[in-house]
Amino acid sequence: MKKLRFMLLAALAVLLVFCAGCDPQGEKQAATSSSASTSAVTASSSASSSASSVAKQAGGSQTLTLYFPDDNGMQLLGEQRKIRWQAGGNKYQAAVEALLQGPQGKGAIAIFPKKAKVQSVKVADGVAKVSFNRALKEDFVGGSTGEEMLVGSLVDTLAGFKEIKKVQLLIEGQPIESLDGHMDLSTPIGPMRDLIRK
Amino acid sequence: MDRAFEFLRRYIGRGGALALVLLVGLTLCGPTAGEARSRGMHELNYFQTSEVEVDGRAATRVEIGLDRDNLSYTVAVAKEQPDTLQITMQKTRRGDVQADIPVRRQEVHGVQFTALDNRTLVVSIQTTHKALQADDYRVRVLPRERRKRLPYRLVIEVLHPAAPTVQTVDGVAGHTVVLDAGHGGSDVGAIGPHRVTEASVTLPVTQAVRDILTASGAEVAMTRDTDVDVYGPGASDRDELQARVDVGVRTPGAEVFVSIHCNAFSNPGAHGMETYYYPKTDADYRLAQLLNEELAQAGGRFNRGVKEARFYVMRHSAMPASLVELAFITNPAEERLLADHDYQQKVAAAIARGIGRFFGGAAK
Repeated sequence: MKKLRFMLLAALAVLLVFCAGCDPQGEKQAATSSSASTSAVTASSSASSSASSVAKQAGGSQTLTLYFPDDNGMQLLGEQRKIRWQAGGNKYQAAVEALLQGPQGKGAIAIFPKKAKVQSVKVADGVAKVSFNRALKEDFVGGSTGEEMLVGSLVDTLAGFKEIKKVQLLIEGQPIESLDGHMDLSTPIGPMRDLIRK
Repeated sequence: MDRAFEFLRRYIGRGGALALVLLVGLTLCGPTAGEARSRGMHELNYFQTSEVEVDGRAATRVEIGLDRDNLSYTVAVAKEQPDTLQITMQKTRRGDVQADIPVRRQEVHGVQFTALDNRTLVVSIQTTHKALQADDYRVRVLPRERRKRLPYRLVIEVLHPAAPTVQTVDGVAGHTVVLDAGHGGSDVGAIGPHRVTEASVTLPVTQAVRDILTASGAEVAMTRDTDVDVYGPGASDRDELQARVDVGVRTPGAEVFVSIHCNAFSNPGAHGMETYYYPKTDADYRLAQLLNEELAQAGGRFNRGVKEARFYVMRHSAMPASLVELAFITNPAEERLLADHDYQQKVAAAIARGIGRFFGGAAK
């Protein structure tokens, strides 16, 4: 067990050093992580502030505001959440997974279908392409409000990452035209900030 | 009671016990019967039907005479028989009036009296209506008229099934409107907790809007007029939505596009009405605003407001367009309303008025 942990730590350190080579911010990071390499959590948390390429490979955690609809579907309520991802994971996917788990605060409602799962989140050129399983569409409650709130909570939550400007929903990796025949989702959607309760 | 009788029998013998029970029974019942009369027990003493006119509609009047006034009664359409009107009369006995009276009138087939218990009498009136609506009957009491020798009466008037009088609105004559009943065919839309489907609500409402608009002199194109997919079963969302937009493209002189939907949300508590627009022009907002005002006034649901959204049919219609969400089908109370014929007519009239005002008609 100890041996395994040592090997994992070693692998992580090697990975970080490797990343440092290809990342302009890497030097500072490598320094932080090597000095803190006694704890995997500390080591990886520093990686979270770096670019996505690093985030994909190292684990970490970050505080992010998740948005959930209120109980009447009128507005989105922000909830601060510490999201964690494992080495080889993806912080964007971790954020969407946290969103799928639903709210913890009072007066907020889960809008994603229970069986909906996020398959991947890929960020390129400011656009996050988020792929879900079919349950997202098949089990979706429907309605204009249902659509606005589901899409709004996803887009506004992911817009918490500076590098994400727009979000496109995919099902099984394929673009969709609409969730329930209201909103045009064939192109990436920008933040819907006016839904957020001030 | 059995046990008390058993107990008595053991001490005074069967005959004695019976006599005692009878005696006690008589002493108890005697004054009660007398008291009941003095407490206002009613008895029927008169029955008459006639043909009259009520609010311009032919009607059958049923008059049931009573020996005393101050009748308390409730009126309801029979649960399992929507053609039968039931009046439950408190403290009333049938008296000498027949229990089952055949009636041969235009609006009434027969009248029956059934005692629920010894102080409650139910009058069942079989009408020729398929399903009685609140406006199809009137029930009231009339005072005694000594000179005409008429007793205090319960009067029930069943109106002739109305030839549907279609309302009209101002401002739409000569204009062309595209109406879109949301979902339909293979896509039932959202589903309520009691399985009412969105598509089963949007079609009758949209048809009612069409009837009002055409009766008011407008041209109306419907994206669908039956329970079908507009593009075809199982089409992609875009093909289906574009097919609806295309109805507007194909309709010469079409000026507005109104799409009618029921809302849905994951929390059954969510409620209210809202209207949507996509800001192509100022007219888009104005249309949504006017529809919202009229729906808020007529429907009486919580007003969620006028909202901007990138809904396909609004974005892609070349004309001012609005999508209205009448209420939440996922909310049990609103689901019931949405399935109600009268409520459907009410919101349809509101939408027609909103369209009329958009074209410059005065608000009514």
